[in-house]
Amino acid sequence: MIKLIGNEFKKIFKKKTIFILLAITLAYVILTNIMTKATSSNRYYYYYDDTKYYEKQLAELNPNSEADKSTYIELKSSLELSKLTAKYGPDSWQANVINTILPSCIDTVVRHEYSDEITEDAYQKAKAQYDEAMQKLASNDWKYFVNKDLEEINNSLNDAYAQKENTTDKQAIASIDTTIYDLELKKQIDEWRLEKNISYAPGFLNNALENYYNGKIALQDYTNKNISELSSDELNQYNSLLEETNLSKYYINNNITLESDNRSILLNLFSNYELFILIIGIVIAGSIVSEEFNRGTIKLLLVKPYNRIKILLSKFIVCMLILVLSIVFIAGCQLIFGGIINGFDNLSTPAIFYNFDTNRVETMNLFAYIALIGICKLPIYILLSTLAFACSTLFASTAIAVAIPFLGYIASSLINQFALAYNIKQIIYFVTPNWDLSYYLFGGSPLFKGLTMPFSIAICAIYLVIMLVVSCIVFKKRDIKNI
Amino acid sequence: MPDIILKCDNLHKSFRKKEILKGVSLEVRSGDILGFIGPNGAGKTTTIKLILGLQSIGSGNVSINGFDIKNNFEKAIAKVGAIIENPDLYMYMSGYDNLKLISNLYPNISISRIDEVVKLVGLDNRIHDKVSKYSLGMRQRLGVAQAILHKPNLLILDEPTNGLDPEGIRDLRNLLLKLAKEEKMGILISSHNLAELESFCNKVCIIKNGSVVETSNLEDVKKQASEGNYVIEVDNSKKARMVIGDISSAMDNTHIQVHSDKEDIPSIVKKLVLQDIKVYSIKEDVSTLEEAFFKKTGGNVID
Repeated sequence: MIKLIGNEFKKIFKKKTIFILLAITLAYVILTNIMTKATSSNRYYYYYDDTKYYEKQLAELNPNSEADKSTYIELKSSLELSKLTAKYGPDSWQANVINTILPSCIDTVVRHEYSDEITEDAYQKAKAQYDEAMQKLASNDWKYFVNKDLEEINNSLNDAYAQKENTTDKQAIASIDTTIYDLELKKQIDEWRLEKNISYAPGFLNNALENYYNGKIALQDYTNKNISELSSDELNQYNSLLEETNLSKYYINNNITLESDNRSILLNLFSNYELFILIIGIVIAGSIVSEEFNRGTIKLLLVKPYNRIKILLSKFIVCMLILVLSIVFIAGCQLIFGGIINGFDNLSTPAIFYNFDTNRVETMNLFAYIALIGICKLPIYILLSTLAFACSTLFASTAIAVAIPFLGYIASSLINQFALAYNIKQIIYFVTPNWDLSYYLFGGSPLFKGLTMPFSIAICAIYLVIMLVVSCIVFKKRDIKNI
Repeated sequence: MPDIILKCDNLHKSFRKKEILKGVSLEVRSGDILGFIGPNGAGKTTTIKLILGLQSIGSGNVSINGFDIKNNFEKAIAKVGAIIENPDLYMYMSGYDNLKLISNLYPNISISRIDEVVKLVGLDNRIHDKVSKYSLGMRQRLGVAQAILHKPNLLILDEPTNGLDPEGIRDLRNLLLKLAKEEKMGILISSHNLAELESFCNKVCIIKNGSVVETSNLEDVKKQASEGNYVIEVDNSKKARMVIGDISSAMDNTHIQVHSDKEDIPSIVKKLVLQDIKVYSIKEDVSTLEEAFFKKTGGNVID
């Protein structure tokens, strides 16, 4: 049987098909890395300098006409803001401050110039604020803004606590609590900024702060709910929020900056390149039997002193080995070419993930983590390849054997969504909700309630065995007709 | 009596109620070259597929070297070499790679054996070319090479002369005769090219509509078909025919064919001579296998 397996490998590697597939895969890997490199330089947002647009608009308006006045003031403030942004550059911390803190005082200053609704007092105050801000922006002193914000938050907090003491109305207290929760969060973020030296400049940690804040706000909705009574959809949302906030907190506390580079692509190897793993696996498995029928070489093979089951199983084993080899090939390509294009830095940074069982952020060696995910995803690839193999054996048609597994793959998420939408319980006995074991990792929740890892493995194994047994019986009994 | 290598016993096979084989029995002994002939659709290829275990046997038995093909496939097939229908090989590989691939599946085939077989079939110059670049004749040669690579004692060839040039046919004939004589191989060979088979085989098996109509030694079949036929060369065949009567038929202006006992020939000649007809030659008409074939099968009717 070893010799049969060896022969099958030789047949595959003497054909052009596998090399064309590998070449396309390699090209895709390289392209992905180049695109990652290209987009990582300006990845936060698209900046468009609209100063000219505002100037043009303003030229058409008359500040002295009552009808145009309010629009004119608005545009004038916007112009001021965009001029300042352009001055410091869109990627600077100043740009962030200009667009979040300054608008109100600039508006006051501009409004004072063109209308009478602003009192002299308010103007003076705004002007002072404006001047000071300008000076701090110029001297690169972002901590000034943090401290100022913190000061305001502390004042508001004191007010809120005072208010709470004096109120007995439950609804009012609840509303004040919400405010306090929000303020405490903001305070925490400002304190982190000072402590960890995270400026307002767009960047990974600045993002993490924002994600932490947004996540915590969203999580507040769940504080009064019983987690075990959530629907699986809600639970997934809750879990992803929990994951997001905890990971963000971990990054901030440990001062970890993750870039989209070789490491990040490797980490998501299976979502990035899943299609290519499947293409290689399915094309090989889908042609390995039918091709022999179509070329007539099956007769040559079947008059050799091996029984048909051995011949078929050795072909199946080869398909599985090819599948594993294709994963190794893709991972290797990513490691090497990703490294050449995006650098080999950060590969020693472990994989960081949130464990729902222990409710803690944990780390794992990068490569061990990738291997673990790979093992959990393997049932998808094995089952689809086996489907291709079975179709190849049953129909002796490569086209059908390749098309059916791909249609199945494309339809699988649709099937799951359909079952979720119409609450079809029997779906848990189908293969699609069970074949991705990575849902179960680190205390994660399954796609459908009630599914467990052993159950899923058992279902996958049953489907695998059924397909193989049917293939073997058909292949064993088959009459080799004229070809 | 030499050993029986292949024995088919009363083989039946049906496809969707249509009976393809209606009790085919044949045997091949070591050193035999059995010509397996019959019109299109008679069941030649089906019989061969049943023998090789490529199709399930309806009823009856096939045993090769004493092993039943159904129950003991691996042992039965171990010493069999075959080409079925076309020499289908892996087109994207070289001839040499094809042979190596096949040699892997049998124990103890050395590289020198491959070279030896390549030389034997006369492919030494092109063996490292891809099979897709081969002509049909060269693929036939490679087909024969892969069939004899593991020194089988039963060789089954389905239409091996297809696409071979006269030289190739001569080479194949010499090769098969040598294998049968020196290696004591039993060979089953089917072909439509009856004239070719005639020079190959020592036995024939004629099959028609799924039943064997004749199995015996080639000489016997030919003798049976040609018994009592003589060709007489005369100066005027019309006149001669009138003299001899119904037992004769004119072949052309100068030849008549006479069907009669050997003992009657001198009196026929005497009659001709007395009528002043010139007799140039008399010879026994040893008909070809082709004629015997047509006689036995009554032409080619596919039903």
